[in-house]
Amino acid sequence: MSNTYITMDELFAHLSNIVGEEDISEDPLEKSLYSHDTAPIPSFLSKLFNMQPAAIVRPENVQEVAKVVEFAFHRRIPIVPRGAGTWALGGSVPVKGGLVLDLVKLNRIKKLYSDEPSVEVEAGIVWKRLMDQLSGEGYTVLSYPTSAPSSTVGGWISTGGYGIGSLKFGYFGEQIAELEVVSPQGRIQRLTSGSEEPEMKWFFGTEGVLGVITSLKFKIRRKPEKTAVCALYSSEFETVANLLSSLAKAEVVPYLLKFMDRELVELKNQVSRVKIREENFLLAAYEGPASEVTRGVNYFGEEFRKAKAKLAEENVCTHEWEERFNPMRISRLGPTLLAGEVVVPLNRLSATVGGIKLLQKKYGIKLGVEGYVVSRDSALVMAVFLTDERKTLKYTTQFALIKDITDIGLRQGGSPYGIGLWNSFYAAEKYGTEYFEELKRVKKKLDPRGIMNPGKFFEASTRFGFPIPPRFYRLSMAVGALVNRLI
Amino acid sequence: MKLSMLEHFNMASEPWVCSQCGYCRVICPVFDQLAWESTAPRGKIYYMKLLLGGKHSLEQRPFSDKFAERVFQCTLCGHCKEVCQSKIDLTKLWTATRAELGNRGLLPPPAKEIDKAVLKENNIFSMPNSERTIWSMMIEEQVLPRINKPAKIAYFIGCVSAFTGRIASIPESTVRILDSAGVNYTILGSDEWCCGHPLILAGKTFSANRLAEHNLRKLKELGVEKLVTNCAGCYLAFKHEYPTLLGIDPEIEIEHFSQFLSSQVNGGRLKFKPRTTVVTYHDPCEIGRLGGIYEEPRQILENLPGVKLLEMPYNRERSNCCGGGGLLKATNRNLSFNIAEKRLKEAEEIGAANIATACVACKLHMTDVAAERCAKMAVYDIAELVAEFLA
Repeated sequence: MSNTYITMDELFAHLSNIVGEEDISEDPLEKSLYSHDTAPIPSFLSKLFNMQPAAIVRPENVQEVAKVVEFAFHRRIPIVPRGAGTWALGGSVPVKGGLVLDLVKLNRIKKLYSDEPSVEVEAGIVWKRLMDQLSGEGYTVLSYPTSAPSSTVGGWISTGGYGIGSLKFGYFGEQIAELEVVSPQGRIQRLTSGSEEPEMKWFFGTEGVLGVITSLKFKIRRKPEKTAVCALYSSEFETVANLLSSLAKAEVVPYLLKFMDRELVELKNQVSRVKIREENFLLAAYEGPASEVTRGVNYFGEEFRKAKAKLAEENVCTHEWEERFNPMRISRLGPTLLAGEVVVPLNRLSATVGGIKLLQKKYGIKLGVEGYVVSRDSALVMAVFLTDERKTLKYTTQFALIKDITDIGLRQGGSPYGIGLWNSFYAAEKYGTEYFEELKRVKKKLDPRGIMNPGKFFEASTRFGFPIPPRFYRLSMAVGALVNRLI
Repeated sequence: MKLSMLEHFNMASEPWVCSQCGYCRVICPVFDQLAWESTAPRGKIYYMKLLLGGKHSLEQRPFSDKFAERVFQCTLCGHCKEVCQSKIDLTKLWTATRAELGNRGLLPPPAKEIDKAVLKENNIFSMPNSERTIWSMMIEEQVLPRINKPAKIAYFIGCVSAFTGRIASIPESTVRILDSAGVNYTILGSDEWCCGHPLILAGKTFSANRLAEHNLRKLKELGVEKLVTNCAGCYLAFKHEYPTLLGIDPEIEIEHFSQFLSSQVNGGRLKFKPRTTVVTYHDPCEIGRLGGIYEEPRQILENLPGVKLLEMPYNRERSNCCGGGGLLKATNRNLSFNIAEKRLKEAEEIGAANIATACVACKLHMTDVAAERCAKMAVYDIAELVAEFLA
């Protein structure tokens, strides 16, 4: 079993011995649907990579995952773990063909622990389903992604891990007590914070390049006694940015603290049932014991009065709280919605948004910005713009804007939110050279044959066998920006 | 490539509007069972983008058999439309896609059979339409005098109730209720033709025009101002599909029987005797998510003396489909049974022994599945349940 070459028939036979015929697909229709994520990639870029998998495999339990991975290791077949494919950076998309390991069937709650509440779940469970089930038992999670109605628990820890509730309860990785992973050689391992070689943290945010996360045990909480939402408007973004800082550092930390700039509000109003005053907007949600929530709301009241901002109407607060899951609502106006995401220090938020706004002139395109305060001193900023994928040349050149948005955040001391394929040139900047070198060493050690989600994160590896040189990438994006201005 | 039916229904840009967020994937009853991307609304719409953009794989014909199969592996429950971030009218998109398949001769056999049957006999069962009052055999003296008698209110029976003996109790109960409330109404008898909804499901949208025009003409001849039906599909056709898909304004008021009944109950026109019953209400997709009727059936149940109404965790706009819609029962029986079984389990888990619904197809389907899969669950149409409470 060390032969590199394998026919499709052999592949099918081996895999069906493990997962059964029903859970393998080599159908061309199916393969075309597992060769992308949410990002509409211009064809000149996607053609550089082999994004079509040879097959999709759906294991039903960790043992089957381990057997599939072990088989792939022996045959040197790339394995691409996939949750729900709801990210945009290519983490769940093959770049060297191989097998997509769809974790859709690993969707069970394994155990609910009521003392020191926590839950153990399989990695493919969808956040919303988990939250629904916990709700029936009187519990809820500490934090969740804005994509919770479709994204998976394993997907979130493998990618960003920051979202709604992160400000109050911290990064998702900090809530995890145990992780079950399948190593690139097919060994099932249970890791805790004390584990060494591999360390649990190595699997956080590394997008399946070091192994397959199959289950997680993490902290949950009793459903909050009270939730209160308040919001305000200001004509000055600076005022909103300052308020975000003071609210994030208050004694009662909001559960959610988000903002939208005026341009995004204008865009949202075009598709929204409830219209918001067309100014910069700040929303704070407090969750917890009633007394704590009241203190939080009172503090919000004091701060907004000091800042001379305008209080938002109750129906706007309710509507925007419900809308927290719908950041892509405005796509209808495009029809294509693209976004650049970057995490910046909170005290550089205003400068970052100001810099992003300058790009509007450069590209002649409207940029709306929204973001979340994800810790007491950092914010996740998403700058979105509308374009039309069908107009190939214009679309391709506007794609360069994503890189410019990221670079503005980096200049303000920020880092990209995630890596995947498209941000692999920023991986060292995100993790710092020392930790990135450690991850490289770990990758070599754990995955000596390079089968686990290969060709991304550490490099963007083309179908031609060589990685895209970062300089080429930067140059092509710069050319794209130039051409965009010319046309 | 060009998809003319998508253009006709003004849906050709929608595959680009889709942001691929996948919210539709999780709630789709078919994806829940099969779990392949191609079974999820998101997957189908992405594939249509590939087709429209001319980027489909060269290995396959543009409309592969697999894709045609997937388009009909759908109950048209509208849950995808409900959760869509980009507010794509997905039920309309699926209807247009079925019509596209119809144009290309790629319909599954049951869809072709329905088209043939309706063309021949004006009902979906290929029965002589002169026998359309067969359901009233036991209550002929109440029904026959009403046939084609001018009245402001018409009771539209629908093919399923008219020809399916084992649910004849639904129109029978409806007649009992209408008579008890002293309503003056008419019935079209053999002049009632299929409403056209099954043809829209079957990808033969434009064949429905002839039926719509006939039914509306007959209703007008009788001076009808309000049509009442307990078939959720007929309701959807008259109320929403005629104007939005066929471009026909019915020019009369359309009410689902649950709405009509609710106003009768609220007006105190019906007297009930008490009966202890624990029941849950299953929202039919075609009047719930697609018709916006959630509260009236619940109000009726709450007004029945001795009834304890329990809610399943997924109710109203989040209700799970019973699997009986979209022709799925005909095109993929096992899949539609699996979907229903899950819904029956939801009812069991909350301790309900009875399910009330307001759709003849839901009633029929869940009854069949309960019998075949040994679920101890009695399924009622709301008219049947209310008739049992009549004093």
